[in-house]
Amino acid sequence: MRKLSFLLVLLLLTAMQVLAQRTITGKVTSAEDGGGIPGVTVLIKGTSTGVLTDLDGKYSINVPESATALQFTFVGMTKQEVALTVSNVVDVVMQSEATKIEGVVVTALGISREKKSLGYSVQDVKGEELTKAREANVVNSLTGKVAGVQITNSSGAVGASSRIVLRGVTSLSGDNQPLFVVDGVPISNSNFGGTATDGVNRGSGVADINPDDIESVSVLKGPNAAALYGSRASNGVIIITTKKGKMGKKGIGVAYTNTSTFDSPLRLPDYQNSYGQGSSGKFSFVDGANGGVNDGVDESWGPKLDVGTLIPQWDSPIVDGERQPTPWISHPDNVKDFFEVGTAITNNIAIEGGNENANFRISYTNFNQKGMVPNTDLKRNTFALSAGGNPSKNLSIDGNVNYINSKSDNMPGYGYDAQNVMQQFIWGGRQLNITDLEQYTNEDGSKRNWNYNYHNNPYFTLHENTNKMVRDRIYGNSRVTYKFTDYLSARIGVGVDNWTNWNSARIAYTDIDNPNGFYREEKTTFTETNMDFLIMFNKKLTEDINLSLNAGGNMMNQQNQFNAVEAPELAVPGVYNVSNSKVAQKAFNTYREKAINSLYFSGQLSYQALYLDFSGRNDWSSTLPLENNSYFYPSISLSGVVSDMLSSKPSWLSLAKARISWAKVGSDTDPYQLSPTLSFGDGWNAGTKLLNQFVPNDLPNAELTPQFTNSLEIGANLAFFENRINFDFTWYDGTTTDQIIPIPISGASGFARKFINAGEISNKGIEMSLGLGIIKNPSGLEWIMDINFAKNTNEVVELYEGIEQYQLGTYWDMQVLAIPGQPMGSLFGYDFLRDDDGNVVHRNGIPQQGGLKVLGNYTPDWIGGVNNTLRYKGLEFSFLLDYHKGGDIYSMTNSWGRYAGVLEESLIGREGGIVGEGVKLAEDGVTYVPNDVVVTAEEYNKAAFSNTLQYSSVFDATYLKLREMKLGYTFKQIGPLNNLSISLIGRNLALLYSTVPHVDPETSFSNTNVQGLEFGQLPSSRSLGFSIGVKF
Amino acid sequence: MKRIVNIKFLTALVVLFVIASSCTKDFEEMNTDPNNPSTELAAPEMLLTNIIESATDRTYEIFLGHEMGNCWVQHMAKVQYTDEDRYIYRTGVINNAWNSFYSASGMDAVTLYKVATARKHDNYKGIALVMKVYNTSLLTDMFGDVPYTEAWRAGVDDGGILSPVFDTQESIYRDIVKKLDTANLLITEDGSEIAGDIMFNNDLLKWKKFANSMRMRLLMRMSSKDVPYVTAELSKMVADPAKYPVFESNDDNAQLIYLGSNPNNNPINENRKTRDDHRVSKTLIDMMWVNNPNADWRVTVYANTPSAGGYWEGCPNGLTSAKALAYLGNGLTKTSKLGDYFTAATSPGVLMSYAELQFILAEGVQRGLITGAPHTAQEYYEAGIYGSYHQYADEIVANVVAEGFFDEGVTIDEIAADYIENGGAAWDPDNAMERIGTEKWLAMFEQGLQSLFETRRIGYPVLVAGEDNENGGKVPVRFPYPTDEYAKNPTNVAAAVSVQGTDDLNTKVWWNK
Repeated sequence: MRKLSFLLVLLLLTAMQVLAQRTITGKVTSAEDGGGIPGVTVLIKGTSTGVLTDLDGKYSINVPESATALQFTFVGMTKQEVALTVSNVVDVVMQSEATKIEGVVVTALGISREKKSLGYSVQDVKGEELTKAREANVVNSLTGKVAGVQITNSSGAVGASSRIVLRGVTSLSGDNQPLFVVDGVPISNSNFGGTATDGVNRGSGVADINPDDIESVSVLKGPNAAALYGSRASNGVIIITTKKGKMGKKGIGVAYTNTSTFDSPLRLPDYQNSYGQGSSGKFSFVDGANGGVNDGVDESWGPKLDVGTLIPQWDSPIVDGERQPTPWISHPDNVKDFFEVGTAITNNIAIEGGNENANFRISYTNFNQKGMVPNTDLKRNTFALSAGGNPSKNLSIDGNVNYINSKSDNMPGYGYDAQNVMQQFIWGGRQLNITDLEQYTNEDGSKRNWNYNYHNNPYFTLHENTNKMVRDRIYGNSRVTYKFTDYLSARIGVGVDNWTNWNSARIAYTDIDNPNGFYREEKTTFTETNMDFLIMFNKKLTEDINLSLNAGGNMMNQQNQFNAVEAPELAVPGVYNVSNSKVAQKAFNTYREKAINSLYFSGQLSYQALYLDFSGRNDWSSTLPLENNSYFYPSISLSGVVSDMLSSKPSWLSLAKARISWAKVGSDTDPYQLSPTLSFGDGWNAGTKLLNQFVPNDLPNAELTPQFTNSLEIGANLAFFENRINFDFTWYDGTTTDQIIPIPISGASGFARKFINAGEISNKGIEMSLGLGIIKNPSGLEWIMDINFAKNTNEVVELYEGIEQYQLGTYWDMQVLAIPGQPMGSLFGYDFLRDDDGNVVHRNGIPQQGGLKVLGNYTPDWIGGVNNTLRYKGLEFSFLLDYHKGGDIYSMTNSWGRYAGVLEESLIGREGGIVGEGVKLAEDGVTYVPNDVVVTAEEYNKAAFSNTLQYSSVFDATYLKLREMKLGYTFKQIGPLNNLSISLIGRNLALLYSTVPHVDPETSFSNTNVQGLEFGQLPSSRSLGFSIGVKF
Repeated sequence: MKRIVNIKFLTALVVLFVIASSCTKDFEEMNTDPNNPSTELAAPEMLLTNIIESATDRTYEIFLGHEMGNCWVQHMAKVQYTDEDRYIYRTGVINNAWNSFYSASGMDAVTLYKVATARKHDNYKGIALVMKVYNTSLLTDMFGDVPYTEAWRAGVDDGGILSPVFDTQESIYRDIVKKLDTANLLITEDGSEIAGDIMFNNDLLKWKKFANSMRMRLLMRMSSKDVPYVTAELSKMVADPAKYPVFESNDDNAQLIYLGSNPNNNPINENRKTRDDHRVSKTLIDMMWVNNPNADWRVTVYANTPSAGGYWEGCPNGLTSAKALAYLGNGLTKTSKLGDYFTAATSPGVLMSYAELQFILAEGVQRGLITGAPHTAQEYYEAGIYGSYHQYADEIVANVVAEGFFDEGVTIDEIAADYIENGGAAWDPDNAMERIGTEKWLAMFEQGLQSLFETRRIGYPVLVAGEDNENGGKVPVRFPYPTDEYAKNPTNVAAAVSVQGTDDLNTKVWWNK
């Protein structure tokens, strides 16, 4: 009935206007490509009468004689006003909005919004920025480009994971990774493989997303922007919008790009090349397992090199059973030569097209990577299809499906163990010619190696102990939208993310840790489905007031199935099948499921240039006790475009906007944390298998309640001189309370941890970004500089009564802790013993171990980036600098490298000995006097650098990196080719500043909360390459 | 047409709305762990298997049992990465020891007791008590005052105690010796059968013997603190072997015979697959061989001859890594590795041996703590030595014959007799405790933790800290509290330190004061 009356009114109004009017027609085209723009609002100035352009950009409007001008508006384009003359044809060319600040961003629930109307901070990155210098993992491409986004690339291994943290760590447990949403559907970012001090880093979920298919990425940093996404959004959301075909743009377009990059280690340790393998200056090889003189020792405290000495060595010829002495000489590049040039080649072809009622885009990408480490690779094929259409006037459907197949024949071992080849380069003999080990078996099939005590031949590890991976993933969604009226529509949709990851780990016979070999297969299947509906109302109530309201619901279901089988020892060498097991096979499986149902609403009320946003969401989670499983959380924000409110805006001011917002986000936990169970052990005795049961270390809790994050955010945007200068400032204050964490409890209680609601973490900070159009010359010369800065102050406010430390992780005696009053991630280990003045105390010339204390903290003080782009006609040059100030790192390479005498600094005192700087106990046994006892360099280094003395290997992780560089040229038109572009690109090019010796300070094991530890991860890579792109 | 679409669409929306808001009924079922049994489904025999395996694995764990136990008591020495041997311990190892004796084998034993009580199964109850006492005694003998009355009570039904108070060692000892008495009464051969017993193969009499033998060990430890009580209890037990059966031979030894392959192999075997950081201690080899008037023939089993040739040679304890490697020109090839018997996959993990019990009885008679014993101190002492030789009978006989020290056909008793007569092991009433302590130390080779407790209690043999030690020249007599406990239970650990004394390696525990 209402609808009918509305139509009547509309009819009446139209009829009235017919009285004295004329018809204006015209076409609205894009300045960029000359194509018609459909959907542009054409409004008669001073009225609310208007029409939309059709699919070709054409329009026709009846205007009264009194009308003076037409206004053309379209999101993402600069608003235009054209004064009416006698002509009845008005064609308009619209310009894309010059700067990002006034652009359109995709916000929660996939709703596009004008950025200037938002009450919270959103920063976006266009797709071409991501593919500019081509990273396999899309996360890495965001580095340095968005204020407040901290990205840690774990290593240079193929497929290695990256950790991304927005506005600091909020939760003690979990990985604190933001939620990734692709075209409205959450995508799992779980780890595909264990990464710790052992294992293989198989990367995490978002690495599957193909950068070539991305239209744009919006980073919703705080909970304010993300509240509508619910539980998983408390760490922020990264919204990825994929490329779509354009409706109404007739014809078919084809785009092709090829990117090839070449990788080499960014940084290798500075080794000493004066002394070879051994101890106390002695070495002679017999069997490499302590049978000769220090020949089982994998350290370089042996005889002096390059002085004409002849010594029997591992590769010396044996004559009549006697190993012949051979020249004892250095091989300064032995580690460098071990690495190969890694290659990564990406080919992408995309076809897109459309007509009046439909559009499609098909894209195929082939990514083929060969690692820097011999015999490691990663191959990925991505098929993406998206399509949309309007089967009837009011009905539109769209959907997309992505299939990704990733494969590796070998991913390198990653932890600090024999399966990671880096381990033996932290130790080792400096005289070794490592490439001579390439042949890793003797003619009789026996092992060929330099050491038979601790290490595998590195080539054996990489060729025989392989870690294969095959992953199939399908994700996509489909949506149906129905438009009831101009202002009321509804949609329903379903999204699915399904992946199956299969890994195998082979260990061959004669392996140093597993002499009888080993084989394991693991398969994980993950499925998440999201079904949702949304009712959307959007109406201009008066000239000045607009109201939009959305209400909807979502059902999320997540299933995770893990199966593993294992042959602990092989019966027949070289056959990798679990049936081929010498002892009882092992098998494991787990099934986990959770669901969240939600109802939510959001809305915006705007009055002129004032915008009030609000939202609310209620979740029901299966993981919480029935009585506590429903929880509601709201958000509210207000923003005002001050510059639009001014009666007379000064010409130099383009935009002035202020915003404030408050939000709360609730979240749940993992399944099965409520009631106690027993666990099954490995069992006793293969033949008669006695099963064993034990009480697990985690005590569940049937009284858990949801955890909440509160956040307040205030910000401003300013733009001057026709947007030549853009400034964005945000201040935020967020607190996470009632965290569901396994709080450590006294082991004497019978358990190690209890799940409990406890702990409070606060993150306060500022984010600034400054865009400068330094040169914008009519000749086409352009220099744009984007600067971003973020300082986050993280504090663990409290844990739980009586608990003073929360251990995030521990490797040997180095603990990573959360300590109240300090930022997350205190590095806690042994200092030297010191006198009252802080001098290191020596005994017999050897520095003594003191007490445990906080030695550092992995959280950086601030991070920032500077991106420069210079353009002249088709030529473009850009480079990105990335700076991390503060934070600390513990380096195992430094520790053992000094202990083992392979690093440069271990040359100090080799001949004359070392007098350690510090004091010793005087003869009275009470006072301290300066230390004057000389000890050998070997004794000194072994005491001062070891895993029971961490102080000496903790460093300030501040660094400045030349992160990206690109030099490219785009040819506008060559024959049928559009936009042929050729560019030279580079990533992670140089470590311009760092005080950490020997290693890249940017490194980590995984994307968990355990950070700030370097344990011999493979070095990060420096990539150089080129890219060619063309459109037909 | 348009109308139909409208209605269908709206209906779909309404249905979704109803589903989203009401469909939480299956949440409870969905959130029930399908992977693990609930506590009601606990299987006592499976718990028992785990208790035995876990407790023995931990006792023999390489960093704890081998590097702190065996090295500190100078059975073994480290030749590479010598930190532990210089009394620079790893905090992680101490944390693991505490956490696993409490929350792994300890908690499983407490759970077994609960399950057995609910099912009225006295034998499992008794066995659960024996294993709970084994774990408790290790903890208190390592650290002194530790949580006991409030320990193992984190569960909501058990009091929900997350930060248990510490009890004095004295009160703990007084309770655990009573618990073993109770266990002895609970375990009866005509009671319900048990299963899953990988130590005694479900032989209930052997569990009784273990309960009583361990009780004697613990009574002897508290013997300097309450002579009348200890005398009464020991004498009562010795007087009534039918009621208080104890170990009668090595067949009764409380030991887990490991299996051939991981994860059921001996932890030392696992370690030796990839590491070569240990040598037999010079203190031990000097006594058994280098400085021995003749020989203690067990040396042929305890140690291998050095790879560079020659007879047994020990490595001094507590040298820096560089010095240890350079010892005798090449510490690695010139010194003895641990004997093959002990590095075998199937080498037993001994919780208590027949030989140890004989030395306890010898001490009891010698010090007048056992009255009315059927044997003299000397007889028990010699039974201890014979028992120890019999423990390795096959290996000793084979080795001494192979090395040409004895002729083919020699018996283990002849070899042991030779040692007592010629090897400096003859009973010496004037230095009885020195003899008992020293022989006990030799017999308890590779039982690092227990041997460390006994050696520091008896005071023999006198051990001297290694030259590069970092404990002020003292051999440790206690383990420091775990750093974990300082973080998780700070108030109670601070209270314990204020009662017991400085939390370091040198503060003596109650029974040692």
